[in-house]
Amino acid sequence: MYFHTLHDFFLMNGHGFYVWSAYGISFVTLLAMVWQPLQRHANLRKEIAQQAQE
Amino acid sequence: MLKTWFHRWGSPPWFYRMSGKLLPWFGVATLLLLLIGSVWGLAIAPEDARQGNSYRIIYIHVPSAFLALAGYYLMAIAGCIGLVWRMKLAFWALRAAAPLGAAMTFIALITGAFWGKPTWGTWWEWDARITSMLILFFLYLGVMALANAYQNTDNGNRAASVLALVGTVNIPIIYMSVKWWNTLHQGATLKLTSASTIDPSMLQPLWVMIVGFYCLYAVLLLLNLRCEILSNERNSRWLTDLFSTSTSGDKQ
Repeated sequence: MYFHTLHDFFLMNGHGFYVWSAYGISFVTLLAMVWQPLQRHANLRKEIAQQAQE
Repeated sequence: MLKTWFHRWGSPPWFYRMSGKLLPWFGVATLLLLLIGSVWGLAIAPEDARQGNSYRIIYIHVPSAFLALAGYYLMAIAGCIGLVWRMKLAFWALRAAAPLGAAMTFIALITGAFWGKPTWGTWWEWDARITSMLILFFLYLGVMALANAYQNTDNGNRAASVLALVGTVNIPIIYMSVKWWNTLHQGATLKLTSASTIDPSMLQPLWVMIVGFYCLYAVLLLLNLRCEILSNERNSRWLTDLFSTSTSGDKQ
């Protein structure tokens, strides 16, 4: 671990806001990119299964 | 040999089945690499002598920018294959790749802004590299919009492919922008032909993140492409067979 305390880790010597914002926004964007096709796939699958039963 | 390979992977049922087998492996690799890379880059790698801790943004900025460019090649090549051989799976790959490229470019731009503020004192600058990346973002959005702009899907696919191919002129501009115009953005950190301008203790986690982002891209591309297959082939026999047997099996 490069930082001595957890407090230092969060503050990052004054750059904490920039570093954590960049990581946070990227994480949320990527999570949405994973969630969206999973949801779409589940819906399409349901639709096709229903269609097959008719 | 190449022809049978092409035929197999060009067949939607085969691709759907194989991608389903590949996905868990890529998924696990992605999670592990991104977790290790982020912890390493955020907490273990040393501080940069000149830029301080803000440089830690490199661990997302560079991998996402790599994928923004690599994703464009993939999308343009898919469009080219679709146009030349009229392969529908290639057009679906183009449709699957466009939003991913837009997301990767968005991440590269936004992390760049958060890196620029403490380093250059500004969130945004009309620097050659940044501007050409913004154009790349709009190209991705343009391909997405064109693909859905026509009543006839074939026309949409063809128009989007042509735009993707025309837009490749922007790619060498992005690469060379830091050399041709000596503006704000720093030069390349990783070089193929000479030693990298970064200490190994900072470089190692960067490679982990780059490989992790490639795996993540593979996961996202396969997920999107599988959706395109379901959406376009929803009336075909193989799909109704596949899902009706599996759902009736669940119920009985």
